[in-house]
Amino acid sequence: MMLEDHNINLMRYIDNEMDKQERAEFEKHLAACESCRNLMQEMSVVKEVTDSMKLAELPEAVWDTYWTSIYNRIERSVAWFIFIIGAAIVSLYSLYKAVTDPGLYTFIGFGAMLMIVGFAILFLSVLREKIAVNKVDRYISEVKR
Amino acid sequence: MNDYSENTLIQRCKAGDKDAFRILVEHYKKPAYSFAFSYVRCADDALAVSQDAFVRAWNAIGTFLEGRKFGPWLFSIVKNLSINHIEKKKSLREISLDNAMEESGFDLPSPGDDPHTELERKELSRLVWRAIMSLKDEHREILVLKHMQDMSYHEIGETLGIPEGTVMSRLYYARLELKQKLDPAMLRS
Repeated sequence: MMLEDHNINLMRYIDNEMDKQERAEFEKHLAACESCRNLMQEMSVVKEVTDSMKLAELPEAVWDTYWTSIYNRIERSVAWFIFIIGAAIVSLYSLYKAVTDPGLYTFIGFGAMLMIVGFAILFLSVLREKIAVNKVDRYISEVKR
Repeated sequence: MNDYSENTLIQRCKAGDKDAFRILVEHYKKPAYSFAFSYVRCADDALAVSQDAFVRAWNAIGTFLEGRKFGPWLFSIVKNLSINHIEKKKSLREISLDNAMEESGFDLPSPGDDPHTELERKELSRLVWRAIMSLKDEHREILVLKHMQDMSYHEIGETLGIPEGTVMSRLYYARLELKQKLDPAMLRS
């Protein structure tokens, strides 16, 4: 058996991932191998010390509202998407009407112009942010896999 | 959660069923939080990052390939969001390991003894915590899943998308690295 196998078996032994027969066989090996015995003692202490470090339990109220927070964000992102599409359609239609109907030029045309300029600024701002994030965001490649 | 039920849930999610997604969230929320915590080292940030990961997972669920495991996919999102979060935060202030522990991260083991013993335990916990947080990413994440989530080798393999053999060898090298970082005298005591 290679040393690497012993190390792996050592992990399985201290983590209780062996069945009875494997355990008995490994204990026979431990009895005969001093270096494995010493390593097992050291690794058992490391395991014990690491086991004593537990993440603090968060209050139940945090977990109770966990899903609600996610749900709200999902719902809002859908709502924003619908709103932006709707606003874009209204803006473009208003601009079209303003251009083709001089009678409406003053009010609706001016309003539509402001909305379109506003959208353009927002769009460029979001686009710039997305480009900046993509440069460092390895998540993008993960979700596309 | 078995493969069949998870695949069924993902298919329902793809059809827009938020109740199905909620079941996945309830199943993975604590591991996702712990995993994020091992990177961002702050409870509030870990909560925000893990929730953000679920939102992104929902938005990208249409691109999720049939037959893949949801866990490893989700955890890769958590990991990358955590790394991005750290990079952003670094530009504001350096993350202090000492502060991180105070920022509600860890329970100290077995408090309640005399003040001297408790002080020693706190010091031990601080040293162990610092050592764990200074490990290589792949070593730290596997120790977090094993010791703080009590996952089996099989569950860790599923979560990280690696074979069980790799889990065992990675765990061995993680513990070896941790042993080397910890004071031998402290381990003897």
